[in-house]
Amino acid sequence: MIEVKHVWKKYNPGMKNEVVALKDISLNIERGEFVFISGPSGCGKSTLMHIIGCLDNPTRGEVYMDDVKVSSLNDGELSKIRRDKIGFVFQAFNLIPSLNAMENVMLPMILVATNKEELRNQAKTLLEAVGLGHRLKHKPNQLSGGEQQRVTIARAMLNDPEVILADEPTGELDSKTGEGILKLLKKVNKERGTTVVAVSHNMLTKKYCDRHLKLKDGKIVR
Amino acid sequence: MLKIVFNNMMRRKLRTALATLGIVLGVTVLVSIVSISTGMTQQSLDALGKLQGIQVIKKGSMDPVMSSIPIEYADEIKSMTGVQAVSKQVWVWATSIEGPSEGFSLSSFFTAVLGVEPSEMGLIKSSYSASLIKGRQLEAGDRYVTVVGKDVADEHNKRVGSNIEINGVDFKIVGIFHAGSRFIDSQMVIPIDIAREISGFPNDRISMAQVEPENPEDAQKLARKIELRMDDVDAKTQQEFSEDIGELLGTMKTVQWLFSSIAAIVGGIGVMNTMIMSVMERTKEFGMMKAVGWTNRDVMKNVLLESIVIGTIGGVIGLLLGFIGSMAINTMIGGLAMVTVELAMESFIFAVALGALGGLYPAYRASKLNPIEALRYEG
Ligand SMILES: Nc1ncnc2c1ncn2[C@@H]1O[C@H](COP(=O)(O)OP(=O)(O)O)[C@@H](O)[C@H]1O
Ligand SMILES: [Mg+2]
Repeated sequence: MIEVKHVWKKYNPGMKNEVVALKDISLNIERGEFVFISGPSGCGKSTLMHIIGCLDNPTRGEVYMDDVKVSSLNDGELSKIRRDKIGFVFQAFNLIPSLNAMENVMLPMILVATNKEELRNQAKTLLEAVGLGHRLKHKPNQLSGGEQQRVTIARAMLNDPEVILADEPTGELDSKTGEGILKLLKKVNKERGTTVVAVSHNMLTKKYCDRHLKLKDGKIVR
Repeated sequence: MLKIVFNNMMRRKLRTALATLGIVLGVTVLVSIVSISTGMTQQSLDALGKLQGIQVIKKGSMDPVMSSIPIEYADEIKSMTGVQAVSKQVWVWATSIEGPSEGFSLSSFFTAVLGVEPSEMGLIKSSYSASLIKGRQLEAGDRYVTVVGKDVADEHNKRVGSNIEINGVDFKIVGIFHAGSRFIDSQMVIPIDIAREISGFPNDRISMAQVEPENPEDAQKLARKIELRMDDVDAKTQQEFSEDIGELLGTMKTVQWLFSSIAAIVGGIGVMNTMIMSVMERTKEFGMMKAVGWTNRDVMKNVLLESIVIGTIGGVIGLLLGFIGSMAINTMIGGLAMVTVELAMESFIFAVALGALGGLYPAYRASKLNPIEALRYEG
């Protein structure tokens, strides 16, 4: 489903401060897989996630989403892919502070949805699914870290995406809450068949993943 | 989308208020200035329409009140061919009507006392006799009597038969005229001897000679002939006054334009500043909106909408304040400022456009934000 072919990523190429973040990465992610990526800080995990998530272009190499060459798409098409096929969950919970939980979940579709009532219902169902049925109208600052992360997972699930990309989803959480989030991701992966790619330092993730990739200095070492 | 916009505005109430204030200020200034100048224009045009004949005053004086010419000029003009009649007039400042006015009042500023020769008034076309609504004209032999404009009568609650005190002297009102122009309706007409008596204006001089040409079409030519003959006077016809006023209006337009530009700059910069700060502060939010599928255009529209909302709110408040301001001016100095529907619409559009313009650059910046930069966790 997602094919990464010989991807290189250089920051500030040709300059003194050039950083080679990814070195010839090739990777196939199958539909319904739960992939766990670990590695020391600075080894290129986030960079890889951004490239898979169509947020950034590789310096060399190609990424294919459902056999579509990502580098051939324009800004609008990339936005649409991010909206419909990809769900992001980041370490910093990344919610809009002025919107409540429901509205945050609706955010990706809030401008384009023709049926707002249906969208609202979807958001509600998703929040219930992540165990936040009782926090629909709460603003992010009224929610705990774990709850906020559940809201971002609900948001990531909104368009029933093919893949959820989670970059250190438990990084800000205590281990118990963190495990709750991992369980939730696993549940989504199992019940909906959504592909999950999770970057984490949290070795508990191993317990839930189908495949564990280790990254070091921009290379996959296993 | 609007909800996001409003939420953001509420989140930074003070800053939004400041940006709105910029627009409010701009629109208020605009509305007050334009309403006054519209009102003034209207008044001057009304007055001009009522002007008759040729006015002969001392060369270079701005107003008959400041003019003084030899009385012989009146007879000399009368003897010229093409002249039907001449009215000698002595204009006096109304320094006190019904007691000295307290503080500055523009209505008393406009008020002038005209001394005329009652016997001559019948001979010339005058806006006073033409618009008499009550009572009678001055007649030969009248002494301490006056015919007053409606604005004067209204302001001091007078009717025909009432007494009115002008510069410390009691006069009896025998007639009231209403020409429909603020400038004319604030005047009071008294016999010329009495005008001299209360002002000490010399017997051998007059302020102004009003000349009635035999043929109105020749007014212009006649005016030039008068100026040629007496080289220390200005002889102005209605048309020439129009030209003068046209010039004045031109100046007013420039001033208006100047103020509007200042208002625009203040308002626009206020909005731009607020929006740039707001965009920078929300770098992460915009990055995330893009990450979840918002297009650059969506983000741009969102920011633009916010600044347009600020412009709209500012416009409404500014219009309201400007309106209240011009009403205040009106109660202070009487019926001068005019807020027309066009002015209201124009300034409202002006405010919305300011909001949009001020938001353009910040919106562009927001749309160009790199989502990765925005999302990079710095913690
Ligand atoms: N925008 C950037 N400009 C320059 N260097 C960058 C940029 N983003 C990441 N890097 C560098 O690329 C390397 C990989 O970063 P990243 O993918 O964030 O690593 P990880 O997520 O594994 O900690 C690091 O050395 C980092 O400093
Ligand atoms: Mg990282």
